[in-house]
Amino acid sequence: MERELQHLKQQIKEKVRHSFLLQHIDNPEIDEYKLYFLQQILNKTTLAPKVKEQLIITTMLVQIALDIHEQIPDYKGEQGPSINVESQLSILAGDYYSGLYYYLLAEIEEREYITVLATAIKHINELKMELYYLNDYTIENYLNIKKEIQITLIKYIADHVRVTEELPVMAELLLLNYMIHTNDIFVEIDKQSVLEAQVNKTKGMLEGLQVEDGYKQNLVKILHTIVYQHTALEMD
Amino acid sequence: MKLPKTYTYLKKDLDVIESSLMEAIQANHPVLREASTQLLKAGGKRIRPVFVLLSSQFGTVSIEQITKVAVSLELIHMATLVHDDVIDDAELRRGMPTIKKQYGNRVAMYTGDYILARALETITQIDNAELHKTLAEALVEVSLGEIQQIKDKYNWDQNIRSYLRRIKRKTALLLALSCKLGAMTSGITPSEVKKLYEYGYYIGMSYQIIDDILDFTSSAEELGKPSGNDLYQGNVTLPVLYAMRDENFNRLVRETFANPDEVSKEKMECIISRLKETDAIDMSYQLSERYLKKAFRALNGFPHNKAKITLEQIAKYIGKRKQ
Repeated sequence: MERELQHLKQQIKEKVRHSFLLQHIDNPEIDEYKLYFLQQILNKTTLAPKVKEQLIITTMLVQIALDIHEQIPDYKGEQGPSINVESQLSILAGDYYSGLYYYLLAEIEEREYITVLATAIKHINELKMELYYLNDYTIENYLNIKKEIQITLIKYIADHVRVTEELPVMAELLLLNYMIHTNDIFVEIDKQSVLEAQVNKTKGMLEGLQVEDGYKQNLVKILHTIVYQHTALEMD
Repeated sequence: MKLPKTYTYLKKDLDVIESSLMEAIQANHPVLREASTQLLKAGGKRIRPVFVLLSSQFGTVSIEQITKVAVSLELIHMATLVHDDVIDDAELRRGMPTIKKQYGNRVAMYTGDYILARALETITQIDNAELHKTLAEALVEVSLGEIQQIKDKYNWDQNIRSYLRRIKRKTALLLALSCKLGAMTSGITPSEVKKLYEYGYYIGMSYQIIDDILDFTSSAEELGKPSGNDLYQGNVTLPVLYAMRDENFNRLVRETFANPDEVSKEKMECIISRLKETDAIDMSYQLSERYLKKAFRALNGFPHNKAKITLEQIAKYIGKRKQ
């Protein structure tokens, strides 16, 4: 399993490699949890190995493209500083990776999955707008939209292949991971207590999850990794 | 590029495409919907839909499929424009504030990504593997071209070949593709499809060269931006490459742009006037003309129908374009 994941990561790295781009922008980050979740979902299908692999690679390319565009500094109203070459190339890198996902799926003639991913991208950008213009701001509302943004790509693939049982717990794990790595939304709120609540919620969901033991242990391990590596929280 | 009067027979189909475009960008979020609609309503030449329509008229036209192709290509073009305006820090497009200016970079990024997703959702309704391979390959090429354009900025040692490759990716490819996909959808022979692709490609090359000439020969009022703005931004276009064959001009450009942040308006005016003293503008027009002739030649062998006449008129119009 681990070897397969490493192989996939290597494949993704090769696809995003572009010497000039990578001289100017950071190496795109591959979200390992999302990669693992996708792999788990698709391994439960009867899709041909090549299709599974391309589907995972292209979904991760879309994720990378969306994440890169999220890094563009936001200037509005009063003119901010001129956009720098790094940001210009980040925009183009995101567009390039978006083109690549279409290209790779078109090559293996998987038209349906091109639509699935395009619809997911459309939905994600709607959600991002909702978050950006959030009128009724509460931390719950904010985190709920964030959670949806985190899980939407995987959700669309999972819905299409009809392997959806673990989606809720995957969404909670991804949200937890996001919460741990962000501080700016917790300015007026005690981050520790919100995190603790999220950990307990996720643990509860994991306990009730009806999947094979080995897989369940892996998900618990992910929870532990997310929590232990980055927080002072204690797990039972 | 204005529509020649003989286009009127396409109006009904173009109206269908326009409605489908509007339908395609009806996002749920009001600001996303508003931003996309504003961009669409700002107009534009809709030259890609026109080429799709015209190229389809040499075979059996399925207006439903043609509309999907035309809408997708126009949406791809629109998505590119939204992101380009962030890249270029542009405040105005077609006389209207850009999405970037009005709503900020973040919304512009979301809008561009949303519109591109809508383009792919639309085109994938067509079950034609070859069509998707062709379009996907071109999309990747266009992105690579934009990256290359940044790489080539202020590179005074580049040659005309690299300029031509850049404008192919920047402009000619999507026009060629519009012709090709329109033709492919109408079921004509592969060699006819190829000819129409070539027509679009040559037109695109000629069009972009003239655009690059006009950047020096038109007034700021006509351009809506200062003359020589491409060069000021570091984009090395055909007139500059020809003019740089003159040793004095070559030295002047290199010295002036040794520190690009310190190039004054006066220095730019001096460069433009010196460029005009060389044969660069004439030479550029000649190359543009050669591409136009090739575009006309690509149409040889097609039946002399309304579509062919219109394609020829478009080529003539481009040759005469002064702004």
